[in-house]
Amino acid sequence: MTTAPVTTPPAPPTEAGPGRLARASSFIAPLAGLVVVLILAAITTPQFFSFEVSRLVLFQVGLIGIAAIGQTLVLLVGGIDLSISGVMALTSVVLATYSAGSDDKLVVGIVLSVLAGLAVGLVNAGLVVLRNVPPFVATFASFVLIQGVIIAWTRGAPSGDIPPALSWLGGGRLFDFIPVPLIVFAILALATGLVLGRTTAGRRVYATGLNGDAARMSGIRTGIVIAACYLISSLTGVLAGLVNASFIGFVDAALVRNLDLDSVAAAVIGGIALTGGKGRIAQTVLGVVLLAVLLTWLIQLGAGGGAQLVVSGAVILLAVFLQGRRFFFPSPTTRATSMKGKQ
Amino acid sequence: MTATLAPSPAPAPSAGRTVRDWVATAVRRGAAVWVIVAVLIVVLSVMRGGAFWSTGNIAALLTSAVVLGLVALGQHTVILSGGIDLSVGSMVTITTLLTAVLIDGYPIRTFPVILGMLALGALLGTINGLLVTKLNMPPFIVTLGMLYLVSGAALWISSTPAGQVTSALTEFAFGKLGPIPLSFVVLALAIAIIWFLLNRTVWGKQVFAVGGDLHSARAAGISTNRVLIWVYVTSGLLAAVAGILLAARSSIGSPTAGDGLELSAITVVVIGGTSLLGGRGTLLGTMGGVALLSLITNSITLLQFPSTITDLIRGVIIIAAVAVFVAKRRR
Repeated sequence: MTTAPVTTPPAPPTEAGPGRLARASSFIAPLAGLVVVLILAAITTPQFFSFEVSRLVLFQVGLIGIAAIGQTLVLLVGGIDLSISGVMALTSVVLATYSAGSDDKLVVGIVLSVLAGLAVGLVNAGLVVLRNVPPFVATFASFVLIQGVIIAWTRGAPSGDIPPALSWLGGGRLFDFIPVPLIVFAILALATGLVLGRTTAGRRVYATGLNGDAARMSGIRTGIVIAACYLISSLTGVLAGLVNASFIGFVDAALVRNLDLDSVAAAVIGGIALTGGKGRIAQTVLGVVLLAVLLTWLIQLGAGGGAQLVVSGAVILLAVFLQGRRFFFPSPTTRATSMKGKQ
Repeated sequence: MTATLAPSPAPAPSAGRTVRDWVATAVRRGAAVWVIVAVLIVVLSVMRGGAFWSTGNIAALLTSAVVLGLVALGQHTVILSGGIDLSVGSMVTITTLLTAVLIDGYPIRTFPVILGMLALGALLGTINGLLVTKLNMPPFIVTLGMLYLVSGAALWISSTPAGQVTSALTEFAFGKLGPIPLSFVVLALAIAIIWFLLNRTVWGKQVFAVGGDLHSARAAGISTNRVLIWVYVTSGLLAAVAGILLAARSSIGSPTAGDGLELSAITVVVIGGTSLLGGRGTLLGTMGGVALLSLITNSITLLQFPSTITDLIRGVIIIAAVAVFVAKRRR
């Protein structure tokens, strides 16, 4: 069961010949976008290419990227996870409340955060798999529940500090330039890419996303595959929450929805299909870089949180529109399935 | 409505079958939620009879149902048509904020600003509708993008509560027609209009048809795009009315006024027995859902629970509603 599919040549969903062309062309649109944004940034904000700003871009790539990895997995099985920023806030509140800034309690605090994240992932997976709730409703609902839990628990005013022993995760840098979150993201992306492209588990994810019924009939337990993706997404949410909390250093329960949006936006502009089953981690990485550059440029232009939300929202709409128009040239073998919209 | 009969349940154990059918029908027709509402009213009357039935509390209860009720009416229409509108909360936010900011205390501006807000709601709804129909994008992603776009724009306009409405608007918001608040009269009117549109006009039949099966509806000669665009315009307009009333009541505009309303609206529609798949549902049930959510918020105050628990209870209800009431997908 485990050995047979692995020995086949590693050519994920598409064939070799036309597939390679399609694969290359799928990177063109986001790459072109990246070049345009970089040129615009160079013209309007010359300081964009300075040491400090580049470092900021790399940090953003790391933070958005970690969340986007989990989001990509969920998107690949045809879902969407709108509870990521809820998980992030929950992580920071759990860690701060339990440890109260004490290094001794760091490990247990992290374990508790992971458990809290797993609980959210289980709720998401249960609603989607067992009750067939549309994923965006299920995960949005659990976001609201998390919000309620945090407010009721902390009585609206969360207190406590993040243990300083964790500060290397968010604030640390390699050679004073490469932020640790970027390294974490790189490792995660590499691992996920290998799993998706080279293993049976990866094939099951694609099969489930492309055609759940066919996958089920061919013996894949699609429920478990989907549930696993939601659990992993919640875990990456916990990781992103730890990164963010240790970067800020105090508890931040201001439930900004940014990272839900940013992670979806990054994956979708990279070319991951909302309909599931199509797209690779490399595309997400490209999308993350494009979005991080875009957002940092906006900050340099003096845009506030509102303007960033506007841009991210517009980017999602534009990317989904372009996917619908097939500007991203999905591989010819799977074109037929991409025609049908999804509820 | 004929669709209620078509997907009749699969063979179930015959013993408890009639009871289960009966309960299922009650849920679908929206009667079940009113039973819960009645039970809750009885419980509240027993526990806090005097405070609950005081005219002040009844007025507060009716007023608190207005904003959610208006938004839920729009959401009900959209969900009937097989779509979903996640942007209603942000539309309430931006109309609330803009009403207060643009009027800014000048009585002469009241009327034009209200007209402008209605136009804005209709415009945002039109954009949703056009993206869903002409560009064939999934409704949830269109309205999700719109949610972030519009709430970002609201934050851009002002990140703190701002503006000031005129005393005329405030008086309207707190005015009463006998024991009934004027803003509740607005909701009652809106319910009557939407009920008439959905049940007594060709457009209403077309909404049910499109929600039941888009392709069949198109094959039957219904101009599905036009029906759908009007559905989203309706939702936008109702959100704008809700936003104006909210601004009038709070006399100031807040950039977070409508946060979470979209999910509350979806919840009340779902509790009311409307199928998220479209084509099936009753206004009676949706209004029962609105009554239920308002009663629960009201009872938290009456029973003197800490107010920080409100969001938690809302979240639990939403998760429970979604888990229990969302019908398993066909096929």
